[in-house]
Amino acid sequence: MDFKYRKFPNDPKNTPFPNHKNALRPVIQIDFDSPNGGFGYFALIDSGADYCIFHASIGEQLGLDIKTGQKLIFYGISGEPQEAFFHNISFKIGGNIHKCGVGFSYDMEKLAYGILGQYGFFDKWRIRFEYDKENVELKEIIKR
Amino acid sequence: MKVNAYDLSKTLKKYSNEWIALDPNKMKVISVGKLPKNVLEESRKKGILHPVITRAPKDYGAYIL
Repeated sequence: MDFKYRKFPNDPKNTPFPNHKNALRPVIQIDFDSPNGGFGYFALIDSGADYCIFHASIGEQLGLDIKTGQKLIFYGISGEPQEAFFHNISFKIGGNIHKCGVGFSYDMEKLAYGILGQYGFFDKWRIRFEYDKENVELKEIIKR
Repeated sequence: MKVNAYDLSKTLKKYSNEWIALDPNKMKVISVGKLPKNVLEESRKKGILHPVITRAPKDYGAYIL
């Protein structure tokens, strides 16, 4: 499956490269079915993340009792500890059902997208990043 | 006019620190609010049953994760 990179705004006053007007990112749409109705959600494919982490408010929308999940303390580049609570969920990627454990974090509420990391995403999909073509290709890994 | 569903740079630029629901086909803003629940409810009232939601951060800066 091919997904297009998406362009997001850049702050023109906060960039080391004045010609870099937009940020091009491997952000894909994933889709949830929920008792209250389905919805799509943007998630960044992030090879630097160990796990999949989504906004806690998304988990609440899915009907999860967030803090009953297994707790993880994790660190971003700032080195500050943050916490997430893991739940097993399912969602669709390009129409394909994907099941994995996702950490829901109140500490990422200020950020734009969910994070698709190594365990839970990269272990299930072979991913080819093609920045020059603004394309990311996903192939499901079939375990024999 | 052709809609480029993948270029959200102009669509999202004017929003800050809010959740946004987008039309899944045109990527046009349907509703804006403080929580996913609010924007989803508003979208469904407007007849968009499966919106795409995302968050506009306070400042659109660089991401180094």
